[in-house]
Amino acid sequence: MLPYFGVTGLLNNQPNLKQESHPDLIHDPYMIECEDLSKNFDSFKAVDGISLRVKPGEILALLGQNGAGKTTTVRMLNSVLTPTRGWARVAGFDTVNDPVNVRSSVGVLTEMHGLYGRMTGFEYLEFFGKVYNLDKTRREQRSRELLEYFGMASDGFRRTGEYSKGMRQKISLARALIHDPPVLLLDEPTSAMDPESAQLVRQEIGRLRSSQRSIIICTHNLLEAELLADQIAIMFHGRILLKGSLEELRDQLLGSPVYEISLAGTFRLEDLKFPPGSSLQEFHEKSFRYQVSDPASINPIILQQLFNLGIPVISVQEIPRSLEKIYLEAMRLAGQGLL
Amino acid sequence: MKWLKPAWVVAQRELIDHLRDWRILAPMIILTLVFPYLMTLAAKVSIQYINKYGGNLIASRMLPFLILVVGYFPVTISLVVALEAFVGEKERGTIEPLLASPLSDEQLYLGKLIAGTLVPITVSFTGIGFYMAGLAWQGIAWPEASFIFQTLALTAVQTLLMVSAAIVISTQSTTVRAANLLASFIIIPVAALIQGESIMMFWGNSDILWLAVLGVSIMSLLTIRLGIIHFKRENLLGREIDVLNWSWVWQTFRRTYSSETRQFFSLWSFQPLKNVEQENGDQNKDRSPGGTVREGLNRILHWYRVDLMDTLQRLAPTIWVVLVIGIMAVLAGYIFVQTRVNQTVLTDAQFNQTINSIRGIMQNSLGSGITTKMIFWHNLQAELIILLLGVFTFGILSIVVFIGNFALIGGILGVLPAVGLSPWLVFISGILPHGIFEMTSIILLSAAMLHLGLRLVTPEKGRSIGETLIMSLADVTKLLIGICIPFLILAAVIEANITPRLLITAVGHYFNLQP
Repeated sequence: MLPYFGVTGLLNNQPNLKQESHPDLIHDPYMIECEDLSKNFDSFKAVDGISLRVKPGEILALLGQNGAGKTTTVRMLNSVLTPTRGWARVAGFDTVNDPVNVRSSVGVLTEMHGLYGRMTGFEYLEFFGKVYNLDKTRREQRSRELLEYFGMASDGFRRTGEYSKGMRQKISLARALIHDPPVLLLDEPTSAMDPESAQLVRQEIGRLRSSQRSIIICTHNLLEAELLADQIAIMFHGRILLKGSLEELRDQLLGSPVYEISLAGTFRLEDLKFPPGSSLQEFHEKSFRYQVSDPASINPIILQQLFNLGIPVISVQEIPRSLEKIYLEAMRLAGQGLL
Repeated sequence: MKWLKPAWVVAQRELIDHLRDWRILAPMIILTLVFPYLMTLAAKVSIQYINKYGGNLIASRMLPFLILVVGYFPVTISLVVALEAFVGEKERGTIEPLLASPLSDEQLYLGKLIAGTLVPITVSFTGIGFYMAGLAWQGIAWPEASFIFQTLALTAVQTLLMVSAAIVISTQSTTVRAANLLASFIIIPVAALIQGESIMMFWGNSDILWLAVLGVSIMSLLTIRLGIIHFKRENLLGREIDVLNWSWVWQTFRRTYSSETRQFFSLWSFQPLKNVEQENGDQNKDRSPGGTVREGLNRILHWYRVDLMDTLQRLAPTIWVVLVIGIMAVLAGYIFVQTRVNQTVLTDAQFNQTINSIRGIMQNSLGSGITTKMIFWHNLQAELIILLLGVFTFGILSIVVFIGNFALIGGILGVLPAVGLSPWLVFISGILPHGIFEMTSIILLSAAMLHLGLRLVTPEKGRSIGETLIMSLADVTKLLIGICIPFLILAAVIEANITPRLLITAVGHYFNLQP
């Protein structure tokens, strides 16, 4: 019924080609789609008119301060909360009219692990396998494979109450994957994990993307978002401030790229003429920074001038503009009411 | 059955989880094994003691009562399973993955209900089993099989009622602490019910106990329906803290009144009634004292015409149902008493004694014995009891009290032919003059309480249990203020001053009494 990639497909990074697809999904290019989605709790606007679209094989990172509305958005997309206004479709199903099918198509990693401390890891996965209506053979096989994949095969028969934070996060992620869903909504997927486990989870998310799953990640880890996300949406007070690829956000918020040229000798600034579309930002004795709208055509002109002046160039590099910088700038502008 | 499978999956997990918790297991085991043993000893000692004084009947009726007690205590302890059902998972952060699963609201709710019921029922019946075995061991004869069966049925339906109410509390609470505090609203009324049942047991009236089984079963089913209807997974995630929001309570209460009625509340501040004035084009308001009184009267009339009429229209179907129930209760009471009176042959002495006692009552009513104030307070108390019982029982006990009152009227009228009086004459001269107001008042209030119960178990989109309850109580308040209390005052005045005279005029000669 739903796009099914199978356990083997999931672990080998290859979609199972014998999958069945829901008729709606064939025509619908988006696995997650919402328009003007809003949620009020009494007079408080938790989410205010957001619109998102995520294609199969795409990861969207939702960023924002605590209370920005990320979790409420995820809960609406998973049919746990009913929108006050707007609509959403997940895996081709309407979140209000078809909640059971929506929830069957989604794997959710919640902010809190939600583990039953007196159950073993294997029992826990088995229980959710039953809840997601998997037959006995499949849920046993799936539970074993997921435990093995996350390096927890020997811990499967220990009570989850004895697990470390990282293990709890891993078993929760395994739970979200137990029914092999086409859509994943992950709230802080690597929080509290050691670097190795976090890398494992990030690799896993990357694999899931390449098996054509649509994924939304809510995170405060900007490096993770930068590494994984195809699209980034920054939320503030229930609204989406900015949305697009990392490059688009950079251009939108920080303007044209900035380059730094380091020189082997000194020179006079008056000797250098910046062509139209470029402007000086910083000047030091042996280096300078400039912003340029079209680096491919302007950078060679500047380098040619330096060559003509006889000043040896040590390096030319683009100044990295991290997502953190974009995010903080967005928050600053939003705080001043400029965004 | 396929639909129930996921519910059973939820129940199974819950049962396994609780059975692995020694803090739940230990008290349950103690109450299952030790408590019945103590009860068996208590039964033996009591029977020996009572039999010394010839109280064999009391001793034999104490045995089924002790079954009820043995069954009740383990339920109160294992009720924690039901009380924790939702709020416990919420507090431990395990609820969200469950809410995010494809389980429907009903499957989730029923799963919790099954787990919540199975534990107390098992513990309770096992305890009873040990108690019965203990009796046999001590050589004490078991009560009759019908008694045992009745007691088991009572225990089962009481458990279901307690569990279903506990699950409702669990869905509506935001902390386990709050749920445990609210549990007293379950345990205390059921303990009171058991006391009532024990009176019936010692009295030997087992037929009434079957009615209790029926009544508690209906209450349980209504409570389950109430819980399922008002179960919203959104609420479980939305509410974080318990705060008694008086402002919200007042606003919800106020919302059930029309804008005109809200202005009626401002009567006391003598603010202008804008809508009425605008409707009437009355721009040049009379500010004289007479004008102010007229304005006040206008407001009251407007409130009756618009708001109270609206409430009465909404209650109309329930009022008709209650009216029919009332007529049937009068007829049943009349027929029941008359059938028995016809089978009884009074001796001359008994006949004269009856006549004399009726004469005494009539003479007393003419004197200063019964005052308007006394009658009013008595009737008001009766209506407040109807109100209070109705709030906690979906209106069921309101109707039971109502039926009792009306059956009593029928019963009194049924006695009259035996002493040669016309029931119609007594009804018209002794009941109708004040009863027209008193009975109307009680019919309206009972109908409002039944309506409250029906509203609670009927889905109303976007309304919580609290909201529905407050809005229904607002309707009840309107009726009380607008009709019931004024009618009770009128009825009391007539009953104390006019009815006795009318009654003596009509039938006084029969008792040698002059008007």
